[in-house]
Amino acid sequence: MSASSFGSFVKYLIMYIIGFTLGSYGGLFSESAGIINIALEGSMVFGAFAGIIFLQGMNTWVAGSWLVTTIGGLLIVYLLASIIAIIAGLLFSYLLSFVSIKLKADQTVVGTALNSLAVAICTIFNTAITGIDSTEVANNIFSQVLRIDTGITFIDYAFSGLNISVLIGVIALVCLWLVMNKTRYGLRLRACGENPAAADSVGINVYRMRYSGTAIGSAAAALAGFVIFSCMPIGTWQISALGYGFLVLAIEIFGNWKATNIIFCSLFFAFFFAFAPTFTAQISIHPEWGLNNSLFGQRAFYYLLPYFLALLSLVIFSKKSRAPKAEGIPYDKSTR
Amino acid sequence: MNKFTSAVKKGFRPFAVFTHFCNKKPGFRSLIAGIISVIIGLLCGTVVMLILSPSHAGVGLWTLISTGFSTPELFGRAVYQAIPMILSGLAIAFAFKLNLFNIGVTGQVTIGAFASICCGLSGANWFVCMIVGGLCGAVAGFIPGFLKAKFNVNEVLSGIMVNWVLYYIIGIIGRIGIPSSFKDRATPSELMMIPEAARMPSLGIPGMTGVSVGLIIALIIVVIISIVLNRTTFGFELKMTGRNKFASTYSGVNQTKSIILALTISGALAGICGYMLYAEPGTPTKFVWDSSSNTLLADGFNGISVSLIAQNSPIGCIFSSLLLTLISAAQNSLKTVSNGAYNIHYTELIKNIVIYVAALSSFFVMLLTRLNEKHDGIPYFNRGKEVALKKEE
Repeated sequence: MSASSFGSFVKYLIMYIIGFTLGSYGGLFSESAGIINIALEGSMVFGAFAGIIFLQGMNTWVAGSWLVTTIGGLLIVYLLASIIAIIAGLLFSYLLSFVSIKLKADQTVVGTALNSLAVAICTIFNTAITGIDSTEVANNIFSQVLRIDTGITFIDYAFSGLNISVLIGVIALVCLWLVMNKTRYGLRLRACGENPAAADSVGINVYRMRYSGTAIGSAAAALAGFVIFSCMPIGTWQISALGYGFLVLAIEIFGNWKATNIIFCSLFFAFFFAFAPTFTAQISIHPEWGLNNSLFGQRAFYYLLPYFLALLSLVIFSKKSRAPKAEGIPYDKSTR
Repeated sequence: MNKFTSAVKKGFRPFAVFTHFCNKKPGFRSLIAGIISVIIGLLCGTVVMLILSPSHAGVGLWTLISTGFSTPELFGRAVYQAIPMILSGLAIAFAFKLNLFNIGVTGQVTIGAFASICCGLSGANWFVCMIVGGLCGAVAGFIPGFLKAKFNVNEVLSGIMVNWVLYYIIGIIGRIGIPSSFKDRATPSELMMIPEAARMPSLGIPGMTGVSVGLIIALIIVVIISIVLNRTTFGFELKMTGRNKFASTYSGVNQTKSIILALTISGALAGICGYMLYAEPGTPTKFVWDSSSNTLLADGFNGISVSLIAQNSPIGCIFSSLLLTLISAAQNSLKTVSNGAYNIHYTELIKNIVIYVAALSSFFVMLLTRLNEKHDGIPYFNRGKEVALKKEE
C-alpha cells in the first residue's frame, strides 16, 4: 500500500475513532442515567448541521479576512463551530429529556421520532438560511486552507483537512472518561440508572441527574457528528448521519456500558470503516491482484464484517451483558 | 360501582363519560390521542409557516389539508403510496404488542424488495413474487427473534446489525451475484423495473390507476392480524407477554415461541411491504442496490411513524399511513401557492412534528384522566397500576 493511501487510511481512522467513541459516550451517559437515547442519530445531525452552517456563515460574513484565510484564524473559527455544535446538542437533548422525564413518554418511540424530526428541522433551516432549496450543505469550503504541504506524502494525506474539532473531541473524551469513572457525579449518574429509588432515598435529585446525563450525552453525540462530517473528505454533506447514530448505540451496548471497553469497540469498528474505502480504492487500481470480481474485492464486504462479527460476539457474550437496570423506565417519585 | 355508573348517577356529564371511555376503551383512547397529536402537529406547522412567511400561512394550511382530496389522481396516488406503509406500520405494531421494537423492519423491507424483484425479473408472476418477498422478510425477522429468545440479545441492537448486514449482502450480490440483464443498462447501480407480469394488477378505478389489488391484500392482512390479536389464544398470549412477562411465563406461555413467531410474522409483513413498494401497476420505482451511498431504505422507518401515530392499533395503521401520504401529496402545491416560501421539505417537517407529538399520547391520556379526577373526585387508580407493572418488568 502506498504512502498516500496509508495516509488517508490514518485520517479516516482518526476521524472515525474520535467520532464513534464520542458518540458512544453520548449513549453511555444518557443510558447510565436511565434514559434510552435512540435520538443519537438526530443529535449527530443537529450538531453537525449547526457547526457546518456556522462555518458557511463565517465564510460569507467575514469573507477574505484573516479568520478564514489563515490556519490560525481557522483554529478560532472551528473552535467556535465546535462550541456551537455542542450547544445545539444540549438544546436538542431537551426535546428528548423533557418529554421522557416530565411527561413520561416512551423513550424509544420519542427517540425514533426525533431522528427524523432533526433531519426535517435542519433541512428547513438550511433553506431558510442559505435560500437554496436543497438537502445538501458544502462541508469542504476551507479545504484549501486546511491543506498541509510538508512534502512528506504520508503526513500530507493523513492530516490535510483535519481541523481543531478532532483535538476538542480528544479532550472531551478524556474529560468524559474521568467524569464517568473517577468522580462523584459519575457514580451518582450510574446509581440513577441502576436504582433511582435508592439514589433518591440518599438525597440525589434523580430528575436533575437524568436531565444532565441526557444533555451531556446529546452534546457529546453532536460534537461527534461535527467531527465526522466536518472532516469527511466529501464535497457536500447530505443532511443525514448515515446510520452512525445507530452504530454508536451498538458500539455502546457491545462495549457493555463500560467506558474503557467502548474505546476498544469503537477502534474495532473504526478500523474496518477506514479500511474499506482505502483498500477497495487500491483494488481498482491494481487489477493484477484479481480481486475485482471476487467476494474479497467488494467494499461492502469490509463494511459488513464488523457488523457481522459484532453480532456474533453479542451472541457469544450475551450472558455477560449488563444493561442499567432502570433503563427506559420513567422515574415516578410516588412509587418509591 | 364503576366510574361510568357513578358519572351517570350524578347526572349527564359528557366530559366524565368521555374520560371514562378514554380509560376503559383502549381503542377509543388511541383514536383520541391520535387525533390530538394530528391537530397539535398541524398547529405547530402553522406556527412555523407564520414564522417563515406570515402572508401565506392561511392559504398554506388550507393547501396542506385539502390538496390530497382535490383531484382523483392525487387522492389515488396518496392511496397507493399508503398501501406498503400500512404493511410496514403493521409489522412494527404487531411486534410492539410484545413490547418488541422491531427496528429491523428496514432490512426486512430491503431484502423482501430485492428478492421479489429478482424473482419477477426471472419470470415469476406477481403472487409468487409477493410470497417470495414475504418469506425473505420472515427469514430476516427470524434472526433477531431467535437471538432474543435463545440468547437474550437486545432486539433493537440485533435489528440494527441485521439491517446493515442485509444491506451490504445485497450490495455484494448486486455486484457479483446477479446476471447483468437484471441491472439497468444506463445506471448499473439500479435493478431493472419489475416486469409487467410481476406487478400487482390494477383495480381499474378511473383516475386512480395506481390503486391495485395490493390495497385489498393489505386490508385483508390488517383484518387477519386484528382477529389474531383480539380473538385467538395466540394473540392473547402475545399481548399478555407484552404486558407482564413473568405472569405469562407463570401461566404457561412459551416465551421462546411467542417472541420468535412475533418477529417472524412481523418480518413477513415487512417483506410483503418491500414487494409492494416496487410493484405498483403504473411505473414502479427502481430498486437501487448499490451500497456506496451507505443509506438504508427510508421505508422501514416510515413504518415506525405509521405505527406511532396509530398507537399500535392494526386498524389505525390504515388511517395513519393515509394521513402521512395525504400530507406528502401537498408537497408541490404548497411550494407553488406560497411562491417558494415553504419548500418541498416542509411537509416532512409537519409529518415529523405529528409523529413526535404522537409519541406523547400517553401524556394526553394522563392529562385527560387527571382532569376527570378533579372533576369527579374519583382517583385514577389505573395509573398507579401501570407504573407498578412497568417496575416489575
